[in-house]
Amino acid sequence: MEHYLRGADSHEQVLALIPWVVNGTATAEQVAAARAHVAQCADCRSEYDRQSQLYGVMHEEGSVVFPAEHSFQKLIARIDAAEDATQAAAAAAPAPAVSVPQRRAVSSGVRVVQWLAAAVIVQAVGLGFSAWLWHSRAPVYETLTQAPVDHHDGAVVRIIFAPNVTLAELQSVLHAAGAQIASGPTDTGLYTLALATRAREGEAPLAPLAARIAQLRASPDVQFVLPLPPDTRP
Amino acid sequence: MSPDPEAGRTAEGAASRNARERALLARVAAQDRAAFKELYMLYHRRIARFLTRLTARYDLAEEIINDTFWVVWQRAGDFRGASQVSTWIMGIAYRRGLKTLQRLNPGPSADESEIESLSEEPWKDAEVREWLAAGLARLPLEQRMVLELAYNLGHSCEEIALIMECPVNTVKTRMFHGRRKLRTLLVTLAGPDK
Repeated sequence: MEHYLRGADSHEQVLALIPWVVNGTATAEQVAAARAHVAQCADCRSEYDRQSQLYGVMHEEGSVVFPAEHSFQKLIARIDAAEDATQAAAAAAPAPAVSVPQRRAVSSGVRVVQWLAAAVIVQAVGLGFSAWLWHSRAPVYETLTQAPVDHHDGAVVRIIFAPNVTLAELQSVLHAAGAQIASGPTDTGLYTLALATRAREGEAPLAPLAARIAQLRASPDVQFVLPLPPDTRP
Repeated sequence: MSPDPEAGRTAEGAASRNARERALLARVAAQDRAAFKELYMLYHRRIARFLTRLTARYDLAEEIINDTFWVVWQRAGDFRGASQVSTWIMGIAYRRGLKTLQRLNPGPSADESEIESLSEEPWKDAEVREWLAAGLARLPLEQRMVLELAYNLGHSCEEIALIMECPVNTVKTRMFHGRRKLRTLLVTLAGPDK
């Protein structure tokens, strides 16, 4: 911000600089130059006093105590739910998924017991869902008036949307990804999406699958994306 | 004219704090929950202070804080140190907060004409906070965010530009208009010469 103090109109420059002098983030050079100007400018001196007063009131700590521990436990519960969803996806895959529970056992011995109990349920649900995917080749989630989306060789992803996402935002995410909801939400907010390989007739071509999955991951409306391995899909 | 000692952070102090937080973030990237909790506790009060000045609903503030740290938990491994850890985390909190608050209450637009003063009566000190809250609530959200980030949390102009993902000159402009509008609202803070 050094350019503030150069040029003919140093008065305007110092006026603009005052908030950063007041909050202590201006450089030593800026503070010195502002101090020299304020000493001889009544308007800037008044403005400095006003901003100092405002800063003093806004910067007060206050006595409100926020229940941080309680909030953190809620976040951990949410993370656990998402990790359980990951377990569900792993359970749906034919490959053995022992590494994840092993890793979690190292970090938390207590959670191993919980996971083992949950894994039985999750695996049953996962296998059921996998069987459903294998046996329902005709997508049942398209509307009668809509041209069918070509899902062959497309991607199937598990996804959790941000909690505050609106219907319009959700639809926008789906449209950008060329995706449709295949199932969900589960109790943990997990959806399964089918990503098309080709755009509908008359629509712009779709980006490559990898790019669309990366776009889903980068979206602020999405919290979690897990592509299912191709060999778990028809 | 002496800047606030806390806000006038020494370069060594800021560097030391950032190094400590970068170490925590590296552990978070490895899914270390103890480090995650330590980082969460470091920032919870700071972000809660910022958000509860923008919304009276703590449940909403808590939701935004947890959304922020959900992203931190998932993307800690992506942090490359291009900015300070605090700027990165506050940037996430800002974007999550802005989106939520804009949806709930769009507020006045940035080009709204000059706001009329709430009162011509001088206020006692005990009333300043109440009137300040009323005045700030009537500012366009972007201008209010700049004031809160600068005065409530003590960020520099450049840090705020990174947090808000906008040019430094935009921060200066928002600060200028925010100060000017607030001045018309707050007779007490405007000083005896007003």
